[in-house]
Amino acid sequence: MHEVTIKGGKRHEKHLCESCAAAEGVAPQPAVHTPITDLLSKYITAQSEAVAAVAGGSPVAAPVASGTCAVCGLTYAQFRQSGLMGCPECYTAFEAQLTPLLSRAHEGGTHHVGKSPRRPLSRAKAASATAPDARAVDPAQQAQRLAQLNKKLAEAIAAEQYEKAAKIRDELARLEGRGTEADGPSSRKPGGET
Amino acid sequence: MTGPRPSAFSTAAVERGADWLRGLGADGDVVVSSRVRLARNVAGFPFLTKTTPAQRQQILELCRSRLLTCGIAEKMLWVDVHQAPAMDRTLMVERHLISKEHAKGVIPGGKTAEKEDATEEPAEPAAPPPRGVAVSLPDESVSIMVNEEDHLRLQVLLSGLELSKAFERIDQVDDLVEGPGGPDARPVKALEYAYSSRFGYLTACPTNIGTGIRVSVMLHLPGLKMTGEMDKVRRATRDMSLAVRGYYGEGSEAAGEFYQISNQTTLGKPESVLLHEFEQEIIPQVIGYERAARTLLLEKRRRLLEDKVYRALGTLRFARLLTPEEALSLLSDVRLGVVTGLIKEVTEQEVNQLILLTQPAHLQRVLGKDMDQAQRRESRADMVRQKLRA
Repeated sequence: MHEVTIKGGKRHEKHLCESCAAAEGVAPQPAVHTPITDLLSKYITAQSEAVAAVAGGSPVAAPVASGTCAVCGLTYAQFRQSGLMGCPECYTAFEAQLTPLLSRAHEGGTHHVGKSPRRPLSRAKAASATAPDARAVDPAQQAQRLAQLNKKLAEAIAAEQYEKAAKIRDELARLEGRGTEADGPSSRKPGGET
Repeated sequence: MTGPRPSAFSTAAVERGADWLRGLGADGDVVVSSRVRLARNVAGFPFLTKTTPAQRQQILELCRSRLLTCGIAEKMLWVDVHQAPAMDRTLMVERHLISKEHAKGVIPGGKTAEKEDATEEPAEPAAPPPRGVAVSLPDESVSIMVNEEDHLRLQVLLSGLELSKAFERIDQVDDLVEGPGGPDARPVKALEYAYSSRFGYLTACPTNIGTGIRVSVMLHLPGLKMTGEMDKVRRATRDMSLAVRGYYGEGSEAAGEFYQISNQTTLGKPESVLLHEFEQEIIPQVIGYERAARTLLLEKRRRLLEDKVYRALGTLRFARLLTPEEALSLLSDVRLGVVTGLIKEVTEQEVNQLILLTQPAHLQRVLGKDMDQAQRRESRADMVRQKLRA
């Protein structure tokens, strides 16, 4: 089953590398994993946590090297105890472990949709450089599309359809990269306009 | 009371009550108030569990100067919560301007730094965590806590079902606090929020990331309680990923059949969708159920209803000792009598005002003296008797 995931996931390796590279181009931390292992570990973690949650036990500790946030020193174990992150960078450091938790806490939501800061942030700028033609996207449509995909992703993971999940995850990453494109100096995403 | 600073609130303002309790907004018979809050953090700093005292002070000063100068309201009140008299802290909790945790100085993920019961002898610790709150005056509809669980917790609180209005206002406040964006941005001391394109606004707790928005309403549901349908509502709201809490917020039991319902999902849905679902779909349904329950009671169990509300009014008019819990519970029953048209000699506004004035800090401020618990019970009953005199 897991080999299938690897094989299935490999086809998307190239794309993920791009987005990761874009993100890491501005992030001060060096790359720790190849994207495909990252992707795989997410599903393994999701699976083990889901099983543990169903069984009523505590989730199996994910075998991820980045067990500590390099910026503030918070360990994942400390986070599990307090429920609180130490700094904004913790979200990057613990991204793999967090994904299934977030999905459960937010009705399957794993990616932000909605308002974004008015000032262009360095990361948003860098990400937007990789997606050239996003201004044509209707933000409302995109929000809906993201929500649908997130739901499908959760369903695929629940049904252990990892190959399908990998595809959806890629699609999400692609859409998301595009989404940051709209972060112009004064433009706003859909949620902020109500 | 050994508060090191004079109170930030005038007795007149205290006595006037709070705007969100006016009972003036839409659907005020069921919806007491609407609240929208945003969680935000300042980029470049760790979250509060990992800050040094110097960083906390820096965040506080950065935010204070920003909040007081960015044009949120014509007049803004700033309170250094860590230096405020204990009575003021409790007063602000009762007015829903700050959280209990903020009053106590609970360090997120840590321990209580200040003594809890502000009405008892307050023991100031050596170094209370620096924190504050900015409040719009005179309506107090906007309040912004600094150094709570997140660096900034912005809230707008309005009377009745006014979530869209509350959201519009908080969105505007959020923009003002953040400051002008774009290439024309002057080098004003604006704030940069911690944000990532994947996770949205980054918050100390992952349950708030994304939009960082919490939309909530306080509902008065005595009808559903009487018809035994409250559990159904609880189950239904839980299925919709909503949280149901009591009058005093997180961790509190429902007192006087007042319930706070709020969203829990903050990631993966835009604010507009969350707000729409909540305001247009979910809450109107609950309102409909409550009204149906009240109608049913009026038509089929009128005696029972009359007995309940008049018995409560009678107790309030003649009791010689009242705890805050009993007062709230009885006032809730009287409120039911008023909104169903059974009780005509008291107005909804009078009841709402008493809900606030019977709470410990308000009671003491209105009567102008510090009292222990036993004295408060007596004075509370005296005040209620006087206000509801037949």
